[in-house]
Amino acid sequence: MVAGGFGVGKTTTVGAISEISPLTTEAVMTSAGVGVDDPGQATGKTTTTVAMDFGCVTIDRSLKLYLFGTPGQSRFGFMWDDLSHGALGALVVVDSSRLDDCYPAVDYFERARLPFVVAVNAFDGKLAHDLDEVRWALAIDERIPVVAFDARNRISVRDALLVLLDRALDDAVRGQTAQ
Amino acid sequence: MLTSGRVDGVDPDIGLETQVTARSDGPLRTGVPVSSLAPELRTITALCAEPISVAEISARARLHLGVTRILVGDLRAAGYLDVHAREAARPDPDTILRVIRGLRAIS
Ligand SMILES: Nc1nc2c(ncn2[C@@H]2O[C@H](COP(=O)(O)OP(=O)(O)O)[C@@H](O)[C@H]2O)c(=O)[nH]1
Ligand SMILES: [Mg+2]
Repeated sequence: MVAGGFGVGKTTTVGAISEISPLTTEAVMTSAGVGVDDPGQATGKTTTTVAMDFGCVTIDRSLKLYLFGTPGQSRFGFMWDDLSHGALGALVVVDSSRLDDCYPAVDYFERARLPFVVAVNAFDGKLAHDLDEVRWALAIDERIPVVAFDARNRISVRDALLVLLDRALDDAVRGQTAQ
Repeated sequence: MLTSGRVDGVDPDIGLETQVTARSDGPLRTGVPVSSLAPELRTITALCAEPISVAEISARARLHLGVTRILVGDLRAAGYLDVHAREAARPDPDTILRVIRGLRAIS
């Protein structure tokens, strides 16, 4: 999963690595109890249309890696529940000048115990805050990697994903030995 | 339109990442050739010649995800498609290692 706030570079990230041009698909999500601030509503359900990026990378003849770019606001948390089924992990894309946008995603993946990496998109190679500042500002656990990357660059996106996969591998191995 | 306004009752087996394949014996079983299906259903069936995810079908067929899920469920129920069960568990270390090797090969 590639999650993050609006305009942080999710679509760019998926497009940089996907072997098909990034496809945007729309989902109409109906969910109970999301943002219920109107108890008078007859159904108690909210319908939201969200744009989701989709990309893929063929790993070998029988394995494909799918990339799902999803909006980062907590009201889309129900969508993350769906997507985190069988997911390898999440790349939380962050614009270092708008750190607040990624709180909900960081919080969600921490709770969901899904491996994740905070990937700071270096717009034009510049970071508004260095990585230690980002970690400190977001109070991110030392075990969670914080990396800088360039969403427009294929190799840079690949390397960010490799950091995530290392985390995922660690977790999977630990999960196996714990059984 | 095709889904008659249904939003609930989506087959829970059908997630965004679920792999779907067309059954070669689909038309035989139903007695209805793919060519007489509604255009959206024909498009979906054609996309499923090779295993493909529901998300990719949605994107390629330019259909809403929710609509795609419903139509895939209908085509499965009618016998045109095979749906590969969702994996509830996280990927195992061997699979992750394969992905790592595959990504490293990207240049
Ligand atoms: N200069 C620069 N622009 C970028 C970078 N990453 C994304 N953008 C641009 O920022 C805008 C938002 O990116 P997008 O991927 O659509 O963000 P999303 O809303 O998270 O999907 C687009 O116009 C991108 O071209 C970057 O690293 N440098
Ligand atoms: Mg986008």
